[in-house]
Amino acid sequence: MKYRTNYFEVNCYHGLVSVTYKNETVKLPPGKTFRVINGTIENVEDFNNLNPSWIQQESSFNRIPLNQVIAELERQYDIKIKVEGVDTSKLFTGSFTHNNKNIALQAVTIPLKLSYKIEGKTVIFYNYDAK
Amino acid sequence: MMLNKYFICLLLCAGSICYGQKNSKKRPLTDIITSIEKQFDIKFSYSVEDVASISIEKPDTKLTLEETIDCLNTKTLLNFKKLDNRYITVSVINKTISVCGIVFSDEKKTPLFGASVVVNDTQKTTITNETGTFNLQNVPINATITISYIGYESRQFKANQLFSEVNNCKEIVLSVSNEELNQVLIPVFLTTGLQKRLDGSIVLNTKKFGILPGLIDPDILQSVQALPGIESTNESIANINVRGGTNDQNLVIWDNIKMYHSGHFFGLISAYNPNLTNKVIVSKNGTSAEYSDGVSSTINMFTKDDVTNTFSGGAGINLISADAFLEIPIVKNLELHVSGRRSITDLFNTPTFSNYFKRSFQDSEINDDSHKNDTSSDFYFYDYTAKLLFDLNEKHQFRANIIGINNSLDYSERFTTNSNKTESKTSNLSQKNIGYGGDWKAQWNTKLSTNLISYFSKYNINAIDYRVETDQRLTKANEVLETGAKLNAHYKANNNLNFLIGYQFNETGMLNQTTVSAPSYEHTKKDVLLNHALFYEAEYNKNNTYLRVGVRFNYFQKFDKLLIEPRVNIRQKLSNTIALKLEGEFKNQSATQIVDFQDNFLGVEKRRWVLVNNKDIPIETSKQGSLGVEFNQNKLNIDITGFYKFVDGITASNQGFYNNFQFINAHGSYTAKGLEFLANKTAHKYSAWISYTFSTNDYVFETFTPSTFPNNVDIRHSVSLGFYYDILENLKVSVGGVWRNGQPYTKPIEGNETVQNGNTSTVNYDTPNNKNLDNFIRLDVSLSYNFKLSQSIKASFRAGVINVTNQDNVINRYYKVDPNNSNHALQIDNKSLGLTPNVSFRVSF
Repeated sequence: MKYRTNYFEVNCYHGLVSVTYKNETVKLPPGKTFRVINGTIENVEDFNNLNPSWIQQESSFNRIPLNQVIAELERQYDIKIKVEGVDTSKLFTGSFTHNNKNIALQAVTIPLKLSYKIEGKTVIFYNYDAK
Repeated sequence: MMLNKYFICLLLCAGSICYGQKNSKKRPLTDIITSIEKQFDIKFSYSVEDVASISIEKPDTKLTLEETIDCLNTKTLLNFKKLDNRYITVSVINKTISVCGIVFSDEKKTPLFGASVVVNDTQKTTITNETGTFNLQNVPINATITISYIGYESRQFKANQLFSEVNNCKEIVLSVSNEELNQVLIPVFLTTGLQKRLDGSIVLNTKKFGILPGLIDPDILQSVQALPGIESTNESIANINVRGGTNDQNLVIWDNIKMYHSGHFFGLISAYNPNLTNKVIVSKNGTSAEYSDGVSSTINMFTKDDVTNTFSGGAGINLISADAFLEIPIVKNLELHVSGRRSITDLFNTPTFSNYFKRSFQDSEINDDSHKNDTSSDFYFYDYTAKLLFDLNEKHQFRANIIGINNSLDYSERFTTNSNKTESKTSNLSQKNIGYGGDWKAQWNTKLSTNLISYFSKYNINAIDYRVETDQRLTKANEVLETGAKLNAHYKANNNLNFLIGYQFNETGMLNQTTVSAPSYEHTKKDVLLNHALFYEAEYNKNNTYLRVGVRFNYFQKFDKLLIEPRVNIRQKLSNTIALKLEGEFKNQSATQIVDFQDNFLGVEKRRWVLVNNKDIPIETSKQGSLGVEFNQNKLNIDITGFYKFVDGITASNQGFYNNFQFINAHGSYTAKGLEFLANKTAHKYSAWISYTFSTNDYVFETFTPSTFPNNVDIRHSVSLGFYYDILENLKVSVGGVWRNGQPYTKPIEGNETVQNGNTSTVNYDTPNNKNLDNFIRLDVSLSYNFKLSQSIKASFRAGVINVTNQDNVINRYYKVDPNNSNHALQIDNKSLGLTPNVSFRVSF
């Protein structure tokens, strides 16, 4: 289960999970996800993992807006990420590790055509073009 | 054929590596990614929008992880990159792909063998094989690829349009170009951006311009001096001598507008913003019947003429000036191009400026050492252009242009009178040329097109001169007003034969005025001349023959005089490597410049335009013939041309004599004969050339004794050498030099240097032009570096040094009576530019 501001997600790995959201109950078999972003229930593709990604010490995302991914990066690495002219509503699918900050940052920035620079506790994301 | 077989094998092999069995179904890439993630226990990261709509065949499950990634990379337009053993990113960044295509000529779909395929802004090129096929590997996905073939319209594609995996080698059809039969003969001549056409004219494409020694800008009037037969005896673009002619014998046209002024800084920089001119055509002989005037050469400049619908622009700065240009689409078929340039030297001083200033004003009152007064000078120049492009439809195009060129010099002197009062006086000089033009191009049917051109050109030079010593106010003005219209009708009889018929009308007015305040005096002379001309021309190009034959009928209304001028330009290929060239023309011009050393503009500009009057100033006429051999093999071009040129109707005042004929009115002729040699070897990374001219050039003035003597610009031997080399893909260097004989000058008679005429003494000159100045030597270098500021902003840095060895060249020598000893003549030497560096930085988008 992931719970952040404006974001709520339950993934079922084993058994059957029952989720109640605004008086609506959903039963999740293994491989199914229930997600609410900004109060709206989202349809999410089935996932394949036998183990939740935090067992691998990583965070996984499926069609998640960049700003949510950034929030997770900030939380995992205790950093502040600033964006410069970046469209943070772009949807991202993928994973990042919790053990290597640079690999994690690259895993997020490269697919979204971004570059980053690290300034102490602050990381700046900017468009790859604008060197 | 071998190559082709090899390629098919390569494709098949590549296919067999990727897929286990043939004909497997395409599946969404997201599904394939999910199953690969499971198979290798890895994680892909991607942007949903990049991957969403892609479907491919699933790679064989027997492949290793590396092979699977290679397979995905070749099958998609995405870049799959391993970050470590678990994480793989999918993006479009730095993606390179393999491209291929098959090029056909239209109609019958015959493959084009040898078409050139170029990845723009890179060194990557190839040519099509006998089946018309080409392949290129590692092409950046957003690169543009240009496919061209002589005689066909070039086409451009984005690399992903030609992606070999998806499109299975796109079929590309090139259509026969509707362009002139006068095609490009040598695509890279001396440097990239310079080309030579079949009729021998030189085309400069400034956007593609590579590098020439000493130059930091693709300045056409500087660049042409690398060619044999073209000199500037005083190292100034306001004084270009083509086959022994004076500068006023060069016709300068900017977007169909006749210009009367070509140089900023009184001749050191071309007044036409080189970054805006798209194409410049220079011809020395065998000119089209369409053009009159300019008995020595025609310099025809064109700015960009296509409505591109893209917003673009550029800006640059060097040690002399700053400029910017913009191309602004307004609506789909309407576009505005604007540019401006201004000198920055009144804001801050640069060594380049100091040298130019010294060179330009050395012989004028501005630099006159004899004044011990406190003096200051303020000089600036600017130019601007605007062009409105309107395509009514595919058949009708309208264009309107304006160009303005302006040079201004303020000069002040401050001095203290005997009664200890301070007085300060100023002189002002302004030199301007403004031109307006409009043209309408119409394509009536596939065979008939017309072009209607009209223009207005106004040239002014005004000098206000306060002479401090006498408190005299002297104003001088020279003005040219010209209106012209021309209608050309082109008829394309077939693919090999064009006809041109046209009519031209010109009205030229010239004013020369002098006023003095004390005593009050005014002298104004105004002349107007109306010329009509009809011209016919046929142009033919088939197999080994290029032929352009025309005739022009010029009628001078004022003198009721008709001049008939034949024009011939023939090139016959004898074999694949050797061709013969024959050119000939009769030309005339009715506006010339006279040189007056006494009655000039602050000593800075000594020339003024005058119109012929068919009496003491006759119509200048020329007859010229040349025969040449061209050799062309493996990018080695050798051109040997012999020429004979006879120009009649020149006046003594037109030549600017510093001899006993300086103040005599007479008209005569000159005959220039010579041999021009040029060898140029170009290769992928370098170009080297040598050009040599041997010529003799003599005047005949019947009323003078002696009546025959060497021309002022009679330079017997002249050699120029140049070399450029691409050190890196984006770093070029260029070195070049000029060596030539010094120009003739006249010495006073020894022991009897001056003669007394009443109260005045004048220099008593010996036989005219009997001595030659020392040889002229100059070595120039330049460097150019191109880079990208971002994906869409290109930048270039250029540096050049003129006269690296700081050679002390005398470019003009004359004498004047020594004010302290009237029996003695003082020698005055004008020097060329010393070591002069310049740098420029440009950006464009």
